[in-house]
Order: sequence, then structure tokens, then C-alpha cells
Amino acid sequence: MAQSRFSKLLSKLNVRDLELPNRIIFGSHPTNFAKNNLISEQHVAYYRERAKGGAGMLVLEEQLVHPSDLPYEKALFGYREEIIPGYRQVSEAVHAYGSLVVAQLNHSGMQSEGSTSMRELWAPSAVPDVVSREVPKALETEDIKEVIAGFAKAAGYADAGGIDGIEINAGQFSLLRQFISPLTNQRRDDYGGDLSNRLRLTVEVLLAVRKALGQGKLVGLKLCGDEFAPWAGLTPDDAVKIAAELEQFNLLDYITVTVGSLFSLHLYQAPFYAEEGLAADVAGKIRQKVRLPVFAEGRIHRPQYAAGLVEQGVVDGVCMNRALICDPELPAKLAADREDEVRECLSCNQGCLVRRSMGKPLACMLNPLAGVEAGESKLTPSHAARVKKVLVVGGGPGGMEAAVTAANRGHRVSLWEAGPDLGGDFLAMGTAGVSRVLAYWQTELSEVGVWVVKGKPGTPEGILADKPDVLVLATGARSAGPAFSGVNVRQIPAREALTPVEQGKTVLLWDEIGDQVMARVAERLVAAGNKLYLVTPDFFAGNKLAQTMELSFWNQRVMVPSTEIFTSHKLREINGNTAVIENIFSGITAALPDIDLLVYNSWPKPEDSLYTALKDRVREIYRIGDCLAPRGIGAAIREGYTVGRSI
Amino acid sequence: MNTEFLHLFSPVRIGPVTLRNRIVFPAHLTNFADNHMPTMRHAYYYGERAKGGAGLIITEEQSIHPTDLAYEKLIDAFDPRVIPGYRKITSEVHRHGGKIFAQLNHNGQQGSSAFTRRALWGPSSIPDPMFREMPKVMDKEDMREVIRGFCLVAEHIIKGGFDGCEVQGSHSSLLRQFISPLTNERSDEYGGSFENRMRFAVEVMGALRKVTGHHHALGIRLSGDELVDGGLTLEDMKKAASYLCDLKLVDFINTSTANFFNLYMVEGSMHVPLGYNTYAAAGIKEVVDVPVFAAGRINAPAQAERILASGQADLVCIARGQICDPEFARKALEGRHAEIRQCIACNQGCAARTGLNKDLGCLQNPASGREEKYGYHSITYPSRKKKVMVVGGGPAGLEAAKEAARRGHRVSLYERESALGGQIKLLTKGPNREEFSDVIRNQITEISNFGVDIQLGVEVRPDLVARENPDAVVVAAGSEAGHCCIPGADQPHVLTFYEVLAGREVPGDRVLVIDDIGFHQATSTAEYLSYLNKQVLILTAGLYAGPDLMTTMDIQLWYRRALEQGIEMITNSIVKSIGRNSVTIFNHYNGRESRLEDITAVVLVGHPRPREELYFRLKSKVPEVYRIGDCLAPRKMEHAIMDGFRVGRSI
Repeated sequence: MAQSRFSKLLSKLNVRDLELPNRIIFGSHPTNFAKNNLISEQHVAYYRERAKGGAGMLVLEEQLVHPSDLPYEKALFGYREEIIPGYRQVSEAVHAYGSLVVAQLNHSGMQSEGSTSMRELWAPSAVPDVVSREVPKALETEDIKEVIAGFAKAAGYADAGGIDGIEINAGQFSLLRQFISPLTNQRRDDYGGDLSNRLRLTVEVLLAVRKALGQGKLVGLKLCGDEFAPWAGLTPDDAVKIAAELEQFNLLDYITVTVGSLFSLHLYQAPFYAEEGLAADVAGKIRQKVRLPVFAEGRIHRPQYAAGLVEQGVVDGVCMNRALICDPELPAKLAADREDEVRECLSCNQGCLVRRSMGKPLACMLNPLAGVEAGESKLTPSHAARVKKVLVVGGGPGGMEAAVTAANRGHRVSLWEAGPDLGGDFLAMGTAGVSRVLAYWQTELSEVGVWVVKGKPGTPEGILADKPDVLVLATGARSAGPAFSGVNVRQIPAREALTPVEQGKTVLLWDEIGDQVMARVAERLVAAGNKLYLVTPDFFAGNKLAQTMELSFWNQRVMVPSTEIFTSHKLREINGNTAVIENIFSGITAALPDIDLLVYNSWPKPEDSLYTALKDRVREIYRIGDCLAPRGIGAAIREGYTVGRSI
Repeated sequence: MNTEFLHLFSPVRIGPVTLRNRIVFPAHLTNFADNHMPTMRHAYYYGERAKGGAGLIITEEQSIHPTDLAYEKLIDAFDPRVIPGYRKITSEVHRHGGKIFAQLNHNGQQGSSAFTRRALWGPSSIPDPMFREMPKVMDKEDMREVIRGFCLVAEHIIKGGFDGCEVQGSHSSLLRQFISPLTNERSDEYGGSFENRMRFAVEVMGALRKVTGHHHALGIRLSGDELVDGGLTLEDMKKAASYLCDLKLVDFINTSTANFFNLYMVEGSMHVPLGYNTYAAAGIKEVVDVPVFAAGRINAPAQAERILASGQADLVCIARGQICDPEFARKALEGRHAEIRQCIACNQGCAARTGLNKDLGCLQNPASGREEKYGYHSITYPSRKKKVMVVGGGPAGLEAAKEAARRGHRVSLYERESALGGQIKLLTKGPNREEFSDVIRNQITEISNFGVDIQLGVEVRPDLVARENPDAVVVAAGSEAGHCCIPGADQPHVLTFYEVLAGREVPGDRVLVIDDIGFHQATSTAEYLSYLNKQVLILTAGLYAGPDLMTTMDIQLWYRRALEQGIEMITNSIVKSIGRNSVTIFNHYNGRESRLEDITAVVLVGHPRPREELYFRLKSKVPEVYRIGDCLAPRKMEHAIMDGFRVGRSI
């Protein structure tokens, strides 16, 4: 193979006695796939798919080490012997493709949750978590012993299950970090005070785990490189010291560096607002101080960026968790010089961020198969028995996915898009990476030979004249009509305000949804120097941004002096250029004067007129995505895929 | 025969089924399902209420179609594998002389596609205000499929041994979405006029009637009043009810009110009056000739009897009252109603847990939902009776003492204050929070049966323990205000909320409440101060004040009361320092600093500190020492009571 820019990223790495086939790591993350708190068939299929796609090392979803910790209902009980068969299945599945598989062991401490188990939380000190606000119990000496024994026991089970090693979690959600950090450790015994005391538990855990593991197995550490709480929390300098100190014990084989902690939850699985590779800097500093292999985790999605980090020696390997959720074949595609076929993660967090998601299983907005790999044998597109003439109307994400999937199976597919460009609602997302994902679809469409016609709106006559065997309608949604009739103020729907034309104006944004469309419009209006009145009936603005971790970033952008946010309010009327808003609880009204523009974010309606017109006139007709029910990109892609593989 | 509650304990016929009394344990979410199947946990849970004397049990909703998986633990009743589980449930209830109906439902647009990965179904393109997901507009084929689903499930219900079916047409149902102009904008024969909007419900009930036949009861639950502008009113629902009765489609009508625009009126908390929904049943009863059920904060036999005696309803639904005390009916029947552990509608164990995808529990009854392990049959009596000292007479200590004494231990309970109750005595000072005192009343009532030696005004120190020489000590010493590190917090005009609720004078007339907790402590204190005619500001680092009130259905009504009282809310903010009459704060998103002027007093609602000293002094000096409740880790009351219960049951 010729020297490519991915050579170093794809080169082998020796870690103690084992060899990673390449430097791409599928790091640990919650999935909600567990059944009865044990590794499920879906887990096995999920990891198998990433090993098959070429990831060098996989770190499994965290395994709990003690019953005092149940951070989410579907967490895995690493302290139960019944976990062993699951480990066996995963390790066999992963080893079949030559990848390594490591189990992450964790105790979440005060970042756990006590109301599922109805037990108190355990922590270094009685310091509550910022979000759950639950006050924990400070561990007693015998509790500490139990935790250490739990780590050792869980390590033994993983070992028995054929796992290649253990990663100890001292990262974002961990008791060990809580012990290391003065932010959460206020103890006055041997486990609190100076750094060596605060590190004591971590060292004891590492010792116990090393002892419980067989020869040749790996022990890694996930380390928080920056708590972003400089008044008391761990700083990058602290992290370098910690890594150096821990290395001296000769217990560790690698360190994975991440960032974020109690006061920076929005950096856990950081959304697109965060800088690329946000832990790379501190990981690089650590790598300069230690001889151990050092990996970075946190928003490393672009293959070129990942390759650069390894090439330049910033780190030895990269965790590309979300990138591999989105495209499990990423490593294989790079190796085959098919980089332009990589479906790149957008850090949208709309499917994969399942922590505190009330049990929802992991999914991916862009990858319709993520989270349902176990059913994949049923889903794998087989070649169509009879080649059909397929017409897809609407070149948004759903239409493109349907066209690609159907053409892949041998159908003759045309895709009509009314506008000048493919992309639909996807174009409007405007986040970094969107253009690359569009380029990916273009590549796929041309590769599988879909006949794409732009600037061609679907009409009943045109469609009937085309005589398709199968018609797939992916015509999207249309905005609701203006919020008020007969007023002078100009009104536009939010979806049409994504590219702000206004500058230095006073804009009223009336939001009934709290979604990403509203968020993008608001931040762009603010950035363009408009005075913004944001009115929402919710308790806070940006309801749907909380689960994706966008909210903190967005608040930082929109909460500027020229913005006024009115929560628990509805828009009652417009008189001249004055808007009257009303508190939904008290009925008290307020007047907002001098409005230049009203942007309303109301629920869109399905654009289903073609379906109504043609439903009894075409033999096989399907509706997918927003024209079935406006729900956004993820649903559109899933349905596009489902239709594409079933026709 | 019971003469006090003549109506309550008179048998009644529901279609072909005769019930022993008028007490219904109505449908409510439990989250006990496993892999979408009913479990033994359901069987024990419902069985315990039948054993406790309930006349009729109605199960939680059973999903009739794969498009409805509104939440993770909904039961897939359209899958025939439910039948064995159903048989276990029904035989457990029948064994104890109760009757049991299954509730059939499709939640329509009041759901989520997260688990099904397919579009929700609804009458029109209108999303639910809570789930916020746009449904697919159902076409006629979809509607036929739903009807087939109802019928298929009815067959499973019959095979599973149930006595009848209740169809959900109330607060969370596709049927109501069709009936209500709020959610039905159709222009076909299923939308528009009253008859058109009723058509789908009529078709469903008509099809079901054919399946259920003459041996099984069939009824419907209706939201008697949607309580939303543009929604269904009681007059509309009277019309709907009599329409269904005229068509002979129902053997009974159950009621509720509201929908998800105002979920707080579906499971009204203690801030909503007792029997707040009864008017809906009474209105419908005026126009129909089948038995009508009343529901909504009916928690005492006398109240229930009055509803029946006055002809407002024929049966009463007592959900939370029987979650809290499964023997509600039997105790009333036997004239022991003073012993009923009365529900306080705190919503902390039932609504709050199930709403967050957790299994149902009860603040006052730790055995609720855990009947197999903790039900009445499970009490074990230790071979050696121990001498037990319980230190602290709050809810945790009382619970531990009660359960230990129930099992025959010799228990002394020490309380340093002059009355039992611990922090509950303060909580009940909050406006409309008085019902919390029933927790203590209930515990004291129960404990009085078991001969616990209660010592008031005694502070337990290690020397007392040494003198008493107990086999076990349970430390339930509670918590107290923690240290506040805000500069200026040591000034005399800075108080803790404990001090305020205990009645201490709060200086001046403009008070800032700083909330770090987010539950009732700050909101109650603010309200309390506002009723003393003070201008109150609540400051929180969170996105809005009182976030945890969302889970207990208290937030909307609190906002109403708070805003009426002129309470101001400052969100996303952190206090930098407290001055003599001003407070400097900053917004933690943009760092902008500002000063609140003319603040005459500051009230701190900070995280409490465990009173753990006694525990550590006794640890390893007494054969058995336990720490429970807030002195272990300061948490919500259900945790304290659960801790006490577990220790009391295991000593």
C-alpha cells in the first residue's frame, strides 16, 4: 500500500504485550442496550460491527463494580458473575476481526443516582452533584475496601470472559476522579489532602485490578485532563503531574485523556459547538511527560484531523466513538483509500447521547443501523429479486437515503429535487460537517448510479408520465402560516429565517417548539447584531437542547445584553409595531415595542399533497420522513433506509 | 355488616360482573413490566390490594398496537405471550375475592417514537404538548388496524382470565384525541361534528362489544373535562357519555379530568382539593344509567361514602390511597379506618418515579411495588428479641422503630425535641403543605400497636448508650443547615430556611431566597414569606425556579400562586457576595454581574449537613449500629423512610 496520510493512524501500536492493529479506538460510552443489567445480544452485535469495520481497540460500556452505584437503570453489573458469558461473546466477536477489547470498570460515586436503587450515594465527601443535587455519604474506611474489592472482582470476571484488559475510569463520571480532585474531596484521612493521598484510592484500585488480571492483560486509565473549575478542580498541570506520578507505580499500560467534570457537563460528549479534539492539548502535554501510550477522547471525528494528531505525535491513538457510531466502517474505508465514502459524525448528539434519557437506546441521526445491529441480518440489504423502476421525489436526507439504499440493491432509481441543490432541511443545519455529509451522499448517489434531477418539482402529471413501479415521496414539511393575520409587522417562519438577512433590527422570535431550528435562528440573529426578544411558553428557552448538551453553549451565545428572553409567556397580539405578550400563569401582559420582524417557530405540517393526489394511482407508493409526519432528519433517514431496503 | 359505610360496602353489578364493594383500584402506571410483558410483580401488587379488600382492580394500560410504546415499560398486550402473565395476575386477584378488569389503550400522539423507531399515530398533525412529537395523520387503514388491535387484545384479556375491559378514552388516549377538537382537525367523517368526532370511539367500542359478549364487562374511562381552552368540557362529555350509553356500548363509565396540557390535574397533588374531579362523575351520572366511577384525591372512607351517599357516583377510584395502604378497604370495613395510612398526595413515590421511567413506589409505604419481598406475608420474626435504641424521632427513626417493634424487638425511640416528626414539623409550615403531618400521624398510629417506648426531650449521648447497653442502635439523627461559603453569609440578616419556617423573625420587607436544592424547600419558604407580605425574590443557578416540582406535578400551580403573590425569579445566577442591604450576583452563562438593591434579608436554602457525629462515636462500640435517613446522606423523605424500613425489617 502506498504511503497515505492515514498510514500512521492505521499503523500498529504495541501496548505492553499486546498489539493494536491501528490507532483508532472505539471508546467507552453508555448505550442502554443492557438486558437485566447484563451484556445483551445487541451489545455483541454493536461491538462486532465496529471491530469488523476495523477499529483497533474497543472499550466496552462501563461495568459497575459495586451495588452502591447505579448511574442509569441499564448500566452493566460488572460485579456479577453472570456477566462472564456476555464478555465471552463480545470478545469472541471482536477478536474474530483482530481487534482488542477492553472492559471499562467504573464507580460513579456522587455522580450516580440513588432513586432507582433507593440507596445513598457514595462519595469522597458529602458534596452534592451540581445537576442531581443529591447529597452523598462520605465513604467510610470499610466502604473504600469494598469498592477496591469490587474493582478486583469485576476485573477477574472480565479476565475470565476473555477480555484483553481493563480500563479504570477516572474520567468525567467517576468516583476515582472525585477522590483525586479537591473539588469533591474534602477528606482529612489518608485519602484526602495532598495529591498522593488523593491518588491513594486510584493506586490501590490499580494494584488490586492488576493482581486480579492474568498475565499479558492490559490496564488502562481514563483520566480527566481538565475539570474546567480552576478554583478547586483539576487543571491540565495537575493532570500531567497525576499521569507522571501514576506511571511510576508500573501498573499502567495506557492513559486515555478526556476533559470535563461537574461544572462542564456540556463537554461530556461535546456537541458541535465545542472545539474539535478538545482533550488533545492536555493529552499531548501528558504524552510529553510519560512513556506510556496516550490516547485522546472528545470530538475527534474527522479522519484527517485524527490522522494529524497521531502523525504529529500529539497522541499515540484517538478515540473516535461517535465517528464510529455514525460509520462503523470508517477505519476500513480509510485503509481502502475510500475516505470520501466516510459518513462523518456531526456531533449533533440527537441519537447517541443516552445518559439520562429515560432508558432510550442509543441511535444515530445519520446512521439508521446504529442501535439495531442485532437485527441486522434481517436488515442487510439483499439484492432485489426483481429490478424495479423507482422514483424518489424530494432530495432531502430521507430521499437521498432511500435512493441510495434502493439503488444499492439493484433498482433503477431516479431522484427528483425541486430546488437547485440536494440536501433539504439538512442544508439549513449549517453546522460544521454538513457539507461533508452532503458530499458523502453525492458520492454514494453517483456511485450507485442514481439519476439525480435537480430543479424538478414532482407534479402528479409528471410523476404519472414517468411511470415508476415504485414511488417514494420524501417531500418534507411546510411551515405553518403566519402567526397573525392583518398586521403590519413582517412575519416569517423560523425555517426561512435560518439565513438571517436582518442586521441591527429588533426581532421577535416566538417559539412554540424549543428545537434546533429555533436555536440556530436565535443565535444567528444575535450574531448578526439584532436585538432579540425571545418568547416561549416553556420554563426555559431551548427545551430540546438540554438532552443534546447544546443548551449551555447556546445560552452563552444568546444571553447577551441585547437579548431579552421571556419564559412562560405566549404571544397574544401585535398592535402596530408593538407585540403584547402574556404570562401563561399570571396573565400579566407586557408590551414589546418597535418590532421590525416577527419570526415564528410553529409546528410544521406534512407536505403530503402529492401523496393525497397519487395514493390510489400508483401501484407502490411510500411516504417517508417529514411528509409522513414532520419529525426531522433522523426519522427521515431511518424511513428512507427502511423503504429502500424493502422495495 | 358495616353500618358506617353502608354505600361503600354494598355490592354492585357492572354489566355481568358483581363486585363485593364500591372501592376500585384504578389504572395507573407502575413500570413493573419486563420486556413489555406483565410480571409476577404485577400479580403481587394487584393481589395485595385485592387481599386488602378492594372490590375491583383495573390494571395499568395495555398497549393494543405496536405503534404505541409511549414509554419504555408499556405492556405489549397485542403479543399473545402476555396471556400466561395475565393468568397469574387474575388468579392472584381472584384468590382474594376481588374482580379485575384490564385497561386497553392506544396513547396516540401522547407518546414517543424513541422505542419503536416509527411515526406516532394521531387524528391530525398536532403534537402533544408534553411529548412534542408530530404524529402521522391516521388514514382509514390505520384506524381499522387499531380496532383490530383492540379486539385482539380483548381476546387476550379473556383468555387471561379477566372479568372485563376498560377502554382508555381519557387523559392519555387516541380515543380522546379523536373526540376532542383540540387534537382533531380532520375533514373526513371522523372530524368536525360531534357525531363524527365520536365515530372512532363508537367503532372501537362496538367492535369490542362483539368480542367481550355477555360474560365480560366493558366500559370506558373518559376525561370529564379537559380544562383547556378549546378542549372538551363537562357538557361535551355528558353528551359523549350518554351517546355511548344510548348505543348500549358500555357497562360503566369511569372518569378523570384533564390531559397533558395540564397533567397536574390528572394526578392532583396535595395542592389540589380532595375529590377535585368528583364533579365530572356527578355530571355524567346525571345523564347515564350505567354505574359511574369518581376519581381524583379520594383518600378516606368517609369522603368516599359521602360521594356515594350523595349520589355523585356509584363507585370510587382510590389509586394512591391504596398504593399507600393496600388494606384501605379492609380497615374501613372492619371499623379500623383510623388505622388507614392515609395518602398525602405528595406524588413523590408514585407519579414522580413512574414519570421518570422508574418503578412505582410510595413515600409512606416502602413495600409498595415490592410486595413479594416486603408485603404483609413477608414479615419475619427474629428468634432472639433484641434491645434496640432508635435515636431520632423523624420519619426515618419512626419507621425503623415501628418495623423493628412489629417484629418483636424491644424498641426505645429517643427524640431530643419535645415532639416527634423531625423536619416534617418544619415542612408543614409551608403554605398548603400541612398534609405532610399525616406521615407522622400515620407512623405514630401504627407504632402505638407495637409498644415502643418513646422518650421525648432526650438527647442521646454515648454515655446513655453505654448505660442502656442495647444490642443495636439505629442512628436517625437527621441533618442540619450546612456551611455557606458565600462572602457575607455570616451577617445577622442572613437566615437559613429552617430558621424561617421555625418562625424566626425575618427582617424588613424585601427578601432574597437563594436556592441550591430546587425542591419544595425554597418554593415553600418563598410562598410563606410572601404571605407575610414580604416582597420575595428566588435566585437559582438553574434554568428556572423549582425544577424538581415538575416531577410531583406541583410546578404549574406553584408558578400560578407565586406570580400572583408577586414573587420574582432570578435564574441562571450565582451569588457573589451578600452586602448589608444589597446582594451581588452574576449570570453564569455570560458572566454579567449585577446588584440586587434594598435586600433586607437573605434566606439560604443550601445543602444540609448530616448529623453523623453520634454514629461515629458509637461505631465499633455497640454490637450493631446503623445509620439511616439524613444523617447517612441528606436526601428526600422517601429515602429516609425506606432506610428506616429496611433496617427495621432486618435487625
